[in-house]
Amino acid sequence: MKKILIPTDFTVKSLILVRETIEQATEEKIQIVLVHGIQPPSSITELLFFSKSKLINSLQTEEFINACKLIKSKYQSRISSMYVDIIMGNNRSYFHNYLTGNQIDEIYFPLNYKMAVKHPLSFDIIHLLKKCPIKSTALDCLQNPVNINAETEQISDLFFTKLQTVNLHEA
Amino acid sequence: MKIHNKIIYLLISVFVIYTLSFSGFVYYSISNYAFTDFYKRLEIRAAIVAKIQLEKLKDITTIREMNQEYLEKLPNQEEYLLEVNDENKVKNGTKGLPLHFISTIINNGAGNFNDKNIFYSGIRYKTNNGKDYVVIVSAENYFYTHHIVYLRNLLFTSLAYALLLIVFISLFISRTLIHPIKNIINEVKKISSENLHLRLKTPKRNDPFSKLTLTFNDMLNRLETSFETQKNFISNASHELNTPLTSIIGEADLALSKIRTPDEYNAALTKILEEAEKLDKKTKALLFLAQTGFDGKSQKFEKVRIDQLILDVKETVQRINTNFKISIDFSLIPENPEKLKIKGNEQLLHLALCNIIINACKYSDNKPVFIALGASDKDAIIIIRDSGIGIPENELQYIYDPYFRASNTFNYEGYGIGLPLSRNIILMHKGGLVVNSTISKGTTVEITLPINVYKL
Repeated sequence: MKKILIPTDFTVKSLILVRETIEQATEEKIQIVLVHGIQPPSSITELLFFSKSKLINSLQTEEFINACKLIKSKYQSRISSMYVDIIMGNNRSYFHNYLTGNQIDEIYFPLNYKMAVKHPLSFDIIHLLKKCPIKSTALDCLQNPVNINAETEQISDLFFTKLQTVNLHEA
Repeated sequence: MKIHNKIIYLLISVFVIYTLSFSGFVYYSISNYAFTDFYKRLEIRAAIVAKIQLEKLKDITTIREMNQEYLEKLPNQEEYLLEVNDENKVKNGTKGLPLHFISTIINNGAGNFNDKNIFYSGIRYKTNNGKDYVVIVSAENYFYTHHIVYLRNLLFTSLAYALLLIVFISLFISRTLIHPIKNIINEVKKISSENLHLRLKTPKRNDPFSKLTLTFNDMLNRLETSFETQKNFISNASHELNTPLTSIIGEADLALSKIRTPDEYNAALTKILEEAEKLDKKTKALLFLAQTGFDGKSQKFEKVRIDQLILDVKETVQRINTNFKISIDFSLIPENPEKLKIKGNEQLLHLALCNIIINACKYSDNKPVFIALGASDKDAIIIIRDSGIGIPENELQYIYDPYFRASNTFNYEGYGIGLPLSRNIILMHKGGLVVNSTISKGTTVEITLPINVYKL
């Protein structure tokens, strides 16, 4: 059993990385943690009523949840659990602490992909993932959409990834 | 009874009952208090009188002084001293006091009694030298005779004022409650089938009335759309049916205008047959649409495997036109094959998918069409994506209207009946159909069909 951390920006497209990760991982059983970076609010009242689960719920779209379920049912026997979490500090020591605290074994992150900003306090966590004490792998499977049929925010974003790249090569 | 009056009567009766019971209680308890309090005062005075008159104490002067200085005489105060003999009877007559009153005092040691406004209170008193007396003090209860009357009047006048106030308040309340309803009624009356575009004004407040107007507006929206749809349908359908009919009539007319050679008749008849066949197709499609519009109780539902269905559809579509390119992405098929089984009518689902995929192929000029299949825990999801001409954004809402064709489809043949038919079939299976499109870039159709909802 291995616990893998994967960054997400709550778009269906970012879940392609999950798919690719599962294909690449050699272990039979894996746990997946999808993380997103959000700085804690700066005002006292917001901090007082801050709730992590509420924040996560507000960021997840129905399409995102459905796409997660789709992946889960595809890799039913391999995924033992999959959940979304939020990282609230943009510094290295916090992140290392988070890794040990959550017993993360491995990290997969996308190459050449700019995370979409879904929340005013979101920050890109990829630079944290690049330099960390545990094994981290960069996957070149996600590209920011150039043109064709751009992001629709629908479940269909999850499909046709390979087909499109093949098409591009043919062209 | 009008609701307006009903509210007024209800409010008035509630308020009146409340104030009546309230003031009745106040009046009763005050007068009760006045009685007991006054009797107690008389009793104390009787005790003092007994001490002064009957005892020969050294400090009797002090008591007398105190009595005169601090206890003012009550109106019509009178004192009676009656000596009691050994047989518990008063000597020297009762001095006009009722006998039963005196015998109560003798038996109980104390007693009260009132005769109209004059109140009597007495005690039995034994002097130091063994003589037995009944001491009675009587006085007029000024408080009871004057103040209680004042209180009664006060309560009655305040009741009258309150009644007046209540009438005004209830009038006001019923007005404010009824007014918005009257407004809505008046506005709704103005709307008829000629001016369905009119809407009610929605107040900014968030109360049940604004919700009512919103509900009305919602209903009007639906009504208007269904009116529109019907109008569109009739004009489109008559146009669609008219075109082949006109050409049949024209062709027949032309052939009959003079004697023709058998070849010419043959050609004319072939053309007529062609047009008649078109007409037949259209009416059949229409009939099918009407049938699928029902709740689907007459259809037989059995277990259908979606992946197999998609492969079948692909084969069928490519048999119809070999130029159509279809690539299927099964990479996200769930591990558990149970998640691909749905309860449905295979022929109908086949038809629905065929329609959508043929549309995708047709409107993308034989560019490849991608079909993907996946499943979440509740639904099987089929995605059909093309890179064709797309649908204009402002026409996306009409695509399910029968015979509707988007404005950019003039180069393509079609009746505008396939998509509504497919949608009816999907809805019959309790599924969903979502179309997303960007003009001249492509269209994505997402079909969801529930899995495992039926016990087979």
